[in-house]
Amino acid sequence: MCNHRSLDCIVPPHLLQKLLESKDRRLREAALRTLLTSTQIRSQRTILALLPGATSAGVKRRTIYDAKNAEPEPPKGTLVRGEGDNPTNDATVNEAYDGLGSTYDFYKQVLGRNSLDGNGMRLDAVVHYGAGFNNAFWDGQRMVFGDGDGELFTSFTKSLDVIAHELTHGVTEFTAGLEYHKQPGALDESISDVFGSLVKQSSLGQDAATADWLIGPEVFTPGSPGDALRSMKAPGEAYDNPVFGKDPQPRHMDDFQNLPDNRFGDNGGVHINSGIPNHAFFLVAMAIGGNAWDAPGHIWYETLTKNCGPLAQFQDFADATFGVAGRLYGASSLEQQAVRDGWREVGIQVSGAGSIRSNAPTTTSRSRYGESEHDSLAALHARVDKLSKTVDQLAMSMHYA
Amino acid sequence: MKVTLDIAGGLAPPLMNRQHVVDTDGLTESQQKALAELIEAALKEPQPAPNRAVRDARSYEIRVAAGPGEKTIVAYDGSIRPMTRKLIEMIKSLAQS
Repeated sequence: MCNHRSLDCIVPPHLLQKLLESKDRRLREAALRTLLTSTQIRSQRTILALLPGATSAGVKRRTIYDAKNAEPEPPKGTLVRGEGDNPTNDATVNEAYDGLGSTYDFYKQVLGRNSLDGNGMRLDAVVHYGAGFNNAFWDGQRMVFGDGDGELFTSFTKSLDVIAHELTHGVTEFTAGLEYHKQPGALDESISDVFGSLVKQSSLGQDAATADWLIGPEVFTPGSPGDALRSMKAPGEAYDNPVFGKDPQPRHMDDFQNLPDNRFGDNGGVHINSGIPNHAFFLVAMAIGGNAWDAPGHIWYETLTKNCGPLAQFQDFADATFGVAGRLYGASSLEQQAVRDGWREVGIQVSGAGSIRSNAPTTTSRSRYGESEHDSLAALHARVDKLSKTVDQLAMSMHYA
Repeated sequence: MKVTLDIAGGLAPPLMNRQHVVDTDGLTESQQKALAELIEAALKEPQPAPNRAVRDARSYEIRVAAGPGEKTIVAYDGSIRPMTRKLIEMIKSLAQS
């Protein structure tokens, strides 16, 4: 029940937003206090993450090992840098350490996820693996980086999106568990490219319009003819030269490649056909605008972690993103329409797009203000997302008042 | 004897797939002997089962065609046995020379 100090009650977000814009400083402060303590916001870390300097810290645990150009089985090496240790004289070690940290921070601060397993899993990386080793991979427990041959490729630690790509395989492993072949495998690869790119974009402060949407441009030597491993903006155009040939990625289902489901066919083209969902995400992000890790990233993350199974096909994933977008941002919202249009442009018609209301949340009860009692953390992120700019400005004004 | 090494997969298979072929007729006697010994040693190594959790690892398939039969060794990044690794490097080296 409300007393005369109505701002201490649980008030709907739209009213709080209005109060945040008040010219009365006391009203603004009270609205902010309400946001922070309101039971509508289940995770205080969400709102704190929006305030400069007030980000809640997770328990980050990074361990870097040096394989000294050997290939021990399983991959391992000498411990060279642990969590909190000072940088070493080895740039590769420091790049791996920093990249793991940036990826952890992104998942924690943007998506509320505590490491790959959601429970603070330690992040291990092995560097200097092999001699002239032209690859980086996730072995189910750790990241492994090669130094490159020095002719075509340099150290794979130089690419933040590659680091985040590989770690995201761990996230997928602990959530949707997508099978690594054909369309489920291509989704697995696409999700790693999506969040790999988002980690980089977030790190560089790039929005969807200013990001390059390239995967791994930093792994090529200056003399290498390669430009990027893949392009989410333009699948099929990441490279075209006599050394590497032409980028074979399709950007539309009409060009889907039915490759053999074996190691010579890239397990049914998991790194090839990932171009299609990659491009869908790019289109969604461009249509929505702003930072791609906001609405688009949250829609994809919610889909991956709560609405995707091991055998998901592109159609399943597309349908799920459409439903998630409706739940997080509203039926017929800009975000949901962008999701529908993005998938349509790559040749996938989402189910239920013709009757958008059918995608409305089906919960058993709602508060008087319309919120579902089963709102997920992602749903809270979406609502807080709309207030973030105002909160930032308010926090700054309070700091300098 | 013809020895073929097919490297497939990786973080970006279209850029990382490679094939190396060695025809032993073009090798010196000492090279032929060293290659044959390494092939024998690698064939004796038990190869681990594929790790289903691994992502973006490359595979290495070595096919040795000698006489009526063909012998095959398959290995993956992260679990390559010592002799197999040496054989891979030798094949790559001989194929380039």
